[in-house]
Amino acid sequence: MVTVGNIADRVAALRLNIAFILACRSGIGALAGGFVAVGLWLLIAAAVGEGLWQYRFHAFLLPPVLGVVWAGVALRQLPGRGSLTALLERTNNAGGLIVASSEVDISQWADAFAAARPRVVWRMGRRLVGLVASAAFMIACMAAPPNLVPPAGMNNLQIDHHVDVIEGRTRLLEERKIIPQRQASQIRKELSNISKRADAADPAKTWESLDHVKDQLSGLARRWAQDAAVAKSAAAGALEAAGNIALAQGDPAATAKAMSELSEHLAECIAQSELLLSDLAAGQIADLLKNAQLGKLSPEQIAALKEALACEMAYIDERLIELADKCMIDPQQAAQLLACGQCLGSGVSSGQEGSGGIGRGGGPTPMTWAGESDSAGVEWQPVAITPQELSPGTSMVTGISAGKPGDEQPLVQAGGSLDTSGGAGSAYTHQILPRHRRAVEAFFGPGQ
Amino acid sequence: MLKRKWEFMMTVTDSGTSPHLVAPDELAPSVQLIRRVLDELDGILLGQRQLNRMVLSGVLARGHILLEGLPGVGKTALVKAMGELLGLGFARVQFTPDLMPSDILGSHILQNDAQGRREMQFEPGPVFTNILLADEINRASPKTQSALLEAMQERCVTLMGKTRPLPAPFFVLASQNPIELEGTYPLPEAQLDRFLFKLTVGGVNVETLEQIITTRRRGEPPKPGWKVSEQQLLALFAAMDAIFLPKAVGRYISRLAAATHPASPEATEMVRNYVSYGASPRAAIAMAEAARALALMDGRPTVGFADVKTVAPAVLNHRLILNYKAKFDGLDAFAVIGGILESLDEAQVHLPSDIAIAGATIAREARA
Repeated sequence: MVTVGNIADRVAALRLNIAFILACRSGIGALAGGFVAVGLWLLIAAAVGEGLWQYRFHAFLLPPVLGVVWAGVALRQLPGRGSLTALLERTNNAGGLIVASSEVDISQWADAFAAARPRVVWRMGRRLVGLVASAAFMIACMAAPPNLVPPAGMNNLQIDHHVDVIEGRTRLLEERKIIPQRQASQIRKELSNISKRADAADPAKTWESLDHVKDQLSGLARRWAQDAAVAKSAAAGALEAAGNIALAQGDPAATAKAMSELSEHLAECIAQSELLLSDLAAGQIADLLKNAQLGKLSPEQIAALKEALACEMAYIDERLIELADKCMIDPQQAAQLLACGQCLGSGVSSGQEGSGGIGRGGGPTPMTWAGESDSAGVEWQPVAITPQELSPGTSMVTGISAGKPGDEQPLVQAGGSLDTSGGAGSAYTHQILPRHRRAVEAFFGPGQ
Repeated sequence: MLKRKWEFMMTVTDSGTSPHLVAPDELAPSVQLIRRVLDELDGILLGQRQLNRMVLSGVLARGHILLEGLPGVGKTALVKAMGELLGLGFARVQFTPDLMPSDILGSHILQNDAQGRREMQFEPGPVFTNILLADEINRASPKTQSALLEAMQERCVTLMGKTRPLPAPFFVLASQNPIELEGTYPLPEAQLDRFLFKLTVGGVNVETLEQIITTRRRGEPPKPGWKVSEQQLLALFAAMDAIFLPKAVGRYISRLAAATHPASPEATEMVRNYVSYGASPRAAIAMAEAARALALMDGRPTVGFADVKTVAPAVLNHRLILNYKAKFDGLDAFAVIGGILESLDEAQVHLPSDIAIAGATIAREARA
């Protein structure tokens, strides 16, 4: 039997049902919106970079907060009891009895209508699809790397390969202790800045910067190679002196001289390179040096010293080859440095006279600095040609002469102290243009 | 006698008592009576079930009815049958252009009394009846049409300074022809507003026509074999007054009437575009009364939303004044009213579009 109480209960149940659905609906919508907002925030953080990147996960608080707030706001859409009573009336087609139930007693007419419980249907498919899509968007945004977008107004220039090459060179120099770690870090930071500011609109700046770093590394490598060559040369000298000690056994004067040479080379070698310290202990080196100066090196010490010196030379050779392979030093220079000291070494082994070396004065073969290398095939040779012969594809204009090609006489320096072949008078002779010749002749006379 | 009982009944029903629903067994005799009247009417006027129902509801609501239809569709027959069935006085006036107000209301005539003195005596016109059939009312001049204004609204006639009440109940059932408009005078809005309903009397189908031709000699409708007694009629009107109008339904009627005005916030786009003037408060009252009658005819003690929706087109169609744009676009008042009924949610539940209740999508996008 339908009573006023029943109808009120049904209205209350209907209201609760609608409130729950409204809250869920709005909560899901807000959650989806929150996911999109988080995704956008992550993208912005990735685009802006360091400024926001550290705060990127703070945005994850947004979706649940939005969901709760929105669900609360959605309840404002909840229909009033009067509206729901009217809805119940219409649903049951009760002819006004249900809406009248709040004003009059309808118990006498309870059988006149069926008060069916209304069913609230929520088609949630679209909302759920939105939620899943927004969640997928957020997850995709989480994978965005930092510095996603280059700074405004700049187009990215792809220099990763070049940076990797320089980075490899830096790592090599650092690992071989050619440069200190601090300097290597500085170079890496510089490389990072160049990568960030690589602007395709002005590539010359980037390439110049990369070249600068590359040159910097090459310079460091070259200096090390030169020092290493000196050290290798000293080590070779020391090795030869050690050989001489063995040859001069029984001759105290020759032994003392060889010992002196050994101590001299050894000191130079230690001054140039600390590599020996890695093979021999610091105290041992000091003892060796002191005993060499006193001429009291034992055969065992000489043997240990020879072994250490040979190791050092081999180590320097390996490093030089590595640097040459990485194009940090000129291969020709590397070959020269590798050859450096070999004569001494070979001399020691063969007993022949060496050809000298760095710091050792001139050898038997004089060094020739004359004879420039041929520039053929290396650079263009300027050739004067007529305009008819000028071909834009194969020629480059370096200048335009005032007269006919071939008629130009080299400027003759008529005075001055250097390489003067002319006599006194004006400093230069002027070429008279054909169109001026008549006027000049009229003034100075023919033949001038 | 009838008049005294009528006045007594009005006094009882108007007295303010706490609202209560009439009991089913109290309402049952009236419902049975109405069903019998309707059966009789359906037997007299074939094929016009819905029209018969609306006319009876108009009579129960004590309203005047304007019947519009082509000649020969049964307008006069319906009114005559109604008068005979309800056992009420019936008079018919054929409106013509030269018809004068005195031809309807009556006039004073100089006559000798019993003592031989001459005095002006009032000769009542045909309006002094219970059911007045004003046939082809739009053929009379506005002066004559206006003569009915007081009779229809105040249910009395004032002549030469003396007001005379009309018999109770009093109904005007007018008819007009929608064609042959030459030489006619369209009813003014004030007069139209006094009609509870304007009903369109349409034609009948082939089966009905066949039934008329085969069962009726010269098409004459049969005389009703039974008529409502005076007590029964009074009981019917008393039952009408016992029908309860819930506040929610009353509000819906008010919103419906308000929505016919272009300036109303609930007005539809069609109303804003095509309606010059909306329905008057009298229309809202008419809807409430007619809906009560429908509820009674349906055997219910309360008025429902469906009752209002049923009577709304008949109540409102002659009260909406459409502009010329509507005429150019071929739009009539029924289309406008249909739009209002469709858009106006009686429950005022504005849920999002993806939430539906009881299987039917009732929700609309939440308004900002």
